Amino acid sequence: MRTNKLLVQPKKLDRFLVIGVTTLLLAIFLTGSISPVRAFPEVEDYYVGINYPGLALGLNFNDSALELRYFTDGDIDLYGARIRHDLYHFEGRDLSENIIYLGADVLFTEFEDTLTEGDGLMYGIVGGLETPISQSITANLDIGPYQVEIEDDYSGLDSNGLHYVLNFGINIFLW
Amino acid sequence: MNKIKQYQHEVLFKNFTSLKFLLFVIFLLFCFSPLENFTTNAMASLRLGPVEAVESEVDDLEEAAEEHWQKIYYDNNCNYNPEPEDCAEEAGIPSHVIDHWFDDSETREEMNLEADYYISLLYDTQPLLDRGDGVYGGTVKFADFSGSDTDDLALSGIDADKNYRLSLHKNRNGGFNSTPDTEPLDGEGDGLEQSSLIFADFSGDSDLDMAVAGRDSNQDERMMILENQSGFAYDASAEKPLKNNDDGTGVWDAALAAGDMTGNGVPNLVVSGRDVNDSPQLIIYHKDKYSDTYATHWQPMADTGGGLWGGDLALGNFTSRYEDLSSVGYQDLVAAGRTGQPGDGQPKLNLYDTRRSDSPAELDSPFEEGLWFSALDLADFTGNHRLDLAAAGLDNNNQPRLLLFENIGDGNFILHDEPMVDDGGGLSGADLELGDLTGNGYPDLVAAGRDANYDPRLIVFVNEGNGDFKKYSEPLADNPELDAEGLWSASVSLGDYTGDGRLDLAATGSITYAHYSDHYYHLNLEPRLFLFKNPVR
Repeated sequence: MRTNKLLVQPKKLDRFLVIGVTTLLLAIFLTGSISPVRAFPEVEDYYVGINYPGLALGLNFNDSALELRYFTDGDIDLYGARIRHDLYHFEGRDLSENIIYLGADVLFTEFEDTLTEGDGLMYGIVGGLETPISQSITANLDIGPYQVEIEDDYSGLDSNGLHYVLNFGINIFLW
Repeated sequence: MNKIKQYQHEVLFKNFTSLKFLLFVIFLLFCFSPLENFTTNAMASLRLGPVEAVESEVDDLEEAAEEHWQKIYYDNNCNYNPEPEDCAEEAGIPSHVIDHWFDDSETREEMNLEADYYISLLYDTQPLLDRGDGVYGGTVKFADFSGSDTDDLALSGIDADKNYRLSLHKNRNGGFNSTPDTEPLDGEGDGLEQSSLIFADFSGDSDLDMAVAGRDSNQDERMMILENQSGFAYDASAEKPLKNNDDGTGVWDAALAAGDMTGNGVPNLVVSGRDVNDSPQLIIYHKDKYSDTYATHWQPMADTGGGLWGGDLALGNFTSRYEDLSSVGYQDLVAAGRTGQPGDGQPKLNLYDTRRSDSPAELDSPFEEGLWFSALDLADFTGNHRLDLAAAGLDNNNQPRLLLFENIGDGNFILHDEPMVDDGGGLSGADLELGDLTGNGYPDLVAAGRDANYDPRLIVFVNEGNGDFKKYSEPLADNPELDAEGLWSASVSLGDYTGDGRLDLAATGSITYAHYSDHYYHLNLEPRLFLFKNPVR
């Protein structure tokens, strides 16, 4: 059981910072200034993702991927899936292949706190960048708006809101 | 190789041009378009990982749930319930919420979960806000003078518009109109300052009559008994019985008390104050059973300064145990105030035994320093079946005091407690009343006045048994909405105006303090009248 967090407010970031980060990511994608090196892979890859804070199991096929995702911090659990589509491949400075991708997440959540307990849904879209850090490991970073809708089983009260979520993790390719 | 790359780049660029453009437009719309309000809220925070986003919503939900359950808790008056946890459970609050509240001492204290069981007073209204606001230098009194079984309200003093008031407000479904039902002295002096007002059945018709004394708007000292004849109307005869027997016409800096001191079943009227010559008086009037005339019966201080002013009077049979019915009709007298003319004399706290003697015998004072600008009340707050004494006022060192004396028998009092000794010292310009607010069988204490720091106060002391008084609340200072810390030149009255059988509180006085010598004394005073209801179930 977590401590009473009513006095602890989440850190608020300036909207312009968010806009700036998003603009930077989109600018990389939109300007196309970094030259691509090759087309999308033709093979199917399985990978395990270690995301903050959770795990994923993914299947890559051609320019798309399907991930089963799980996140937890002990009191909040999220289960769900992500569909990812690789939009753009380009060559990095060391000739490695980088990928700009779009994704859509749908997650079912269960939570338990001091006074509330219940479940809900979280869904959103992301845009991000995946870059290799070794032969079979890539790192990814994406951001996007998520809608969160949860309901307390005891009081029947609900809460919902739109959040910008910054995701990052590493994928370990098994084949 | 370069050509291949250039070719791939061009192909890919073309393939994605339309998509890029679409995404860019969506992005701009998202950030700067008419959806700005929507996005402003959304972008107000950035979350690191999806868990943090859910956590943020859970935090909001926790806050909403806390408010939700607290509302149910307070709506069901569980904080006034002796068994608040059981009450909360009955109200449908989940056990884990109750456990969280009550297991954590900090939460328990912050939420004031059970404290209000004792406070038992909730601010209700200020009935005079659009008509004078309240009064200072006077009296507020609950009494059922209309015979409606709920207490009506009477008050005297000077209001915020500097009008002299003597007004009576009938109870109307647990409330009072700002417009008085009766103003008996309208056009006859208007009202009375430095006044006292009491109710008793002086005429023997079972209706509550009113006695009042003070100085009117013509600066004349007045004292009268207004008989209740389905209302109070002034005529000259109201003052006649007293006028016929005295040099002066009345007193100000006055105190009144009524009770049967002679054992004939008819209330005597006790009066103290300054007369037209500024001479202090203490007079016990006796009403002839067979005529309407009042005559001076006793003047217990005739040989010791004449009387007292700026004080208070209390009647009760404190020379014997109160279940001793044989002496019920012989009310003893406590009198406080200052002797001599202004600038002279000294404060006194005098006790008089009236047991079947030709003249009241003065008993040893429990407090030789005396008290003026004072207030008195008698009740058995120690549970020893004798009337104990609560007293407040300025002592002979001009220090405000609040003193609780225990009656140890035969009219002997010893100091039992001084509950404000570490919290402002005591009260002056004070009023106090004892009454069981909590329903625990012990009289509690409500006191108002200014303390040693010249701060106006209004304090509820709860009697936790055997006279152990604990300051439990300051109904004005504790309520930030009321913009008042306390009352000076104050008057308090306990009575049931809501009709629920519990004692409610009326309190009036100035929310500011000003010294009498202040040229702008009257301008600097802000009188207000507050009503607090008692929601204890």
